[in-house]
Amino acid sequence: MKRLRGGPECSRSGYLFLLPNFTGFLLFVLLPVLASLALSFCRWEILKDNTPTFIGLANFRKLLTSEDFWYHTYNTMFLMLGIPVGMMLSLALALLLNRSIRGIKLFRMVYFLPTVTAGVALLVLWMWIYEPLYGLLNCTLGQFGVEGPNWLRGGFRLEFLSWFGMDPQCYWSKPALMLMGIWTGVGGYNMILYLAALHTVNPQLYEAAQVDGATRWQKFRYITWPMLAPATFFIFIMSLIDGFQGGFESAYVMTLGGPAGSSTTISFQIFNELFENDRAGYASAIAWFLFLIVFVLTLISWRYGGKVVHHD
Amino acid sequence: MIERPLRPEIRFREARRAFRRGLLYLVLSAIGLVMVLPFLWMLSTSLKTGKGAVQVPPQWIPRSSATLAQYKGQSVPVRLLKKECLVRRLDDGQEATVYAQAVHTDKPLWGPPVVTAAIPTDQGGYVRVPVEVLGSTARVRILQEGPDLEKVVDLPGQDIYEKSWVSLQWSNYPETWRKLPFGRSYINTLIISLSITLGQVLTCSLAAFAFARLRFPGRDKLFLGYLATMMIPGAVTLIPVYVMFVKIPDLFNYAFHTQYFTTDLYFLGKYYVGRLIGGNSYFALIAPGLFSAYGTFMLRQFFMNLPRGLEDAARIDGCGNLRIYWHVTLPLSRVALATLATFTFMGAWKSFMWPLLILNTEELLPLQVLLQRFQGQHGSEYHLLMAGSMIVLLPLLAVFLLAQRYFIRGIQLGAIKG
Repeated sequence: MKRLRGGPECSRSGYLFLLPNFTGFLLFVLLPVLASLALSFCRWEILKDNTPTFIGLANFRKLLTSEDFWYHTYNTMFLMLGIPVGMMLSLALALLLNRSIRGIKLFRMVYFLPTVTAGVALLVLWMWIYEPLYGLLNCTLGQFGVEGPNWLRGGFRLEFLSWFGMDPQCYWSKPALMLMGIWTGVGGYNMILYLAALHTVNPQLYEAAQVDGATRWQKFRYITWPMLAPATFFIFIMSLIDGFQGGFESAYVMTLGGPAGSSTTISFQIFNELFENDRAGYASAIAWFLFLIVFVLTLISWRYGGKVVHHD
Repeated sequence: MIERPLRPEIRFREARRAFRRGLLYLVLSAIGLVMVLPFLWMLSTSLKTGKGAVQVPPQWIPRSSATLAQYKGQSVPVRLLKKECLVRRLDDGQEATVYAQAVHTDKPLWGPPVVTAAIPTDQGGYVRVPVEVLGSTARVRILQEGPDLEKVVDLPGQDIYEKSWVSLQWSNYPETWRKLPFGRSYINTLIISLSITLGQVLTCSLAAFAFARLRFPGRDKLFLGYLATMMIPGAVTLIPVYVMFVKIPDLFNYAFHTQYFTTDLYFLGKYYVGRLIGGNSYFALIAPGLFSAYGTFMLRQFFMNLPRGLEDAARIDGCGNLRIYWHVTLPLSRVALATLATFTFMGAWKSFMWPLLILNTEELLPLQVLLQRFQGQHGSEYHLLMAGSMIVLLPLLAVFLLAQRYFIRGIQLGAIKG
C-alpha cells in the first residue's frame, strides 16, 4: 500500500482504510438487505432450483392472514413476558452487588456464568433439568410431594379459556423456556448495565436524602429509580429487539417448535419456511416484518431515549 | 455542646451492621447457588454411569455400590441369592424363619426403631408382627475372576454387607470424545473463531480509524449508514447470503471454465477440508464474520477519545496514516481491541444457525452444531450428553476467566450505544 502523506484535513486514504470492512458491509449487509426486500415480493423454491417469480404483495397478504404466523408472533411475545421479570431481578441483583465489600467480584463473575456459557451446551443441560422423570427440577419437586409435568412436551387444559373463545389447551413449553431464559440472562448484560448506571448516580443525592430523613424505599423510589430510568429504557428496548428475533436455538435444539407449535417463534418459523417448506420468498417477507418491528422499536429508542439519557 | 454517643449504642450499631452484612452474603450466596447448581448438576451427571444418571432421588456425588462378604478372611464381591433370618415373635415368643426381605426396620418419628417381620399364617396369608432377630444366614454366589472360584456358599448374615463409594466415571469423557469427531470439531471451531476474531479486529479497527481520524468526502453519511445497519435483524440478510454462498461456486465454475470451485479438497491428501468457497467450506463459515458494524462503532468511539498529541508528533516525524494506525493508535487501544476480540471470539464460538445452514458434512462442523447432533443421536444418554456439554463449555469458561475484565468493560462500552 502506498504511503500517503499529509495532514488529516486532506486525506483520501480513508477510503482505503474503509475498504476491507466496507466490502463485507456491502456483500453481507447492504446487497442482501436489498435482495431480501426483492425476494419478499417473489415466490422462490430454492431447493427445487426454480427461478424467482414476481408475485407482488401475495407473501405479505398471506402473512397477515396466516393464523400460524400470528400464533408464532403471539408465542414470541408471550416469551417476552419474561423480560420485565428478568429486568426486575437484574436490577435487584445490581442493587445487591452495588457496594464495595469483599468478594463482590466473585459473585458478579458467578452470576455472569450462564451468559458466558449460553449456547447449545446450556440448552442440552436444561433439557436434562426438565427431563420429566429423572430431571433435577422434577426430582426436586418430587421431594416436596409435587409431581412435576413434562415441561417441554406436556400440556394442561384451562377450561375457562374457552369462555373467551380461546383454545383451552395450554402447554408448559413457553413457561419452561421463559424460566430458562430468565436464569440465563438475569446476571448477565442487564445486570452489568444496571451496575454501571448505579455507579453514575451522584452520592450527594443520597446524602441529602439522608439528611432529610428519607427511608431506604424513598431513596430508591425518588433517587435510584429515576436516575436509572435511561438504563431501564435502554435495556427494555434492547431486550424487546432481541426478544422479537429470539427463540431459534432453543426451539431447534430443545422442542423443535412444539408441542403443537407452542414454542415456535418468528425466527424459527423463518428458518422452517426456508428449509422445511422451501419458501424463500415468504421467509423473506416474514424477515421484513421482523425488520419493521425492530425499526419501529429503534425509532422509539432514538426519539424518546435521547431525552431521558443522563450523559455526564 | 456535642453529645457523644454512648458505648452500648456503638456496639449495637456495629452488631447490626455485621448482621446486615452477614445477611447480604447469605442472600448473594443463595443466588450464586441457583446460578451454579445447574452447572454442578451437569458435572455430576457427566461423571455418573448410565444407570446412576437415572437414579431417583438423584445423587450429587456419583456413587457405586456392591455387595461384599467376608469369606476365608477376605472381603470378596458376592451376589446375594437368598437371605434367611431366624426371628422370635415378640407377641407369643415363637421362633420362625423368614426371608430377609420380609424383615423390616420401621423407623418411627420418635423412639427406637421397631423390627417387624411378615410371618406366614395358617390361612395362607401373612401377618406382620414385631420380632427380635436372633440370627441370619445368607446364600451367596462368590464373584471371582475365573470359573472355578465362582461358587455358592452359605455364610452368616452379618458377614454380608453393602459397600458404596464415590466413583467418578471419568471414562465418560473419552467415550463421548470417541463417539463423534469432537477433536476435529475443536480444531474447526478454533480455526473459525480465531480467524473471525483476527479478521474482525483488523477490519473494524481500520474502518474505525478512518471514521475517527481521517477526513474524506461522505465520511459522516457512511458512518450513519453503518449505524443504521446495526438494527437489521440477522434473519433479513440470512436468506440472500445463504443463497449467495450456495450459488456462487457454480457461477465461478462457469465463469472460469473450471470445476475447481465445487471440488472437495483434502489437506495432506487425507483430511477433508471442504471446498474452496460456497457451502461446505471454511470460507463460508468465516467470511460473513469478518466484518461488523458494531465493532467498528465501538472502536470508533474509543479512538475518538484517544489523545491526538502522539499522533500529531508522529505526523510531524513524517509517519503516514498507516504507520500512525499501526504504531500509535493500535498500541494505545489495547484494552478496546482486547474487549472486541473477546466478544467476537465468544460470539464466533457460539454461532449456531449459520454453520447449521451452510454445512452438510460432519468434518467441518463446529462444536455447537456437533453437540446438537450428538444430542439428536444420544438423546437419552444424559451422562454422555453432559460430558459432551462439558467438553464444549470448558474452553468458554477458560476464556471468560482469563478475559473477565474485558467482558465487563465491553458491556459498559456497549451501553453508550443508546
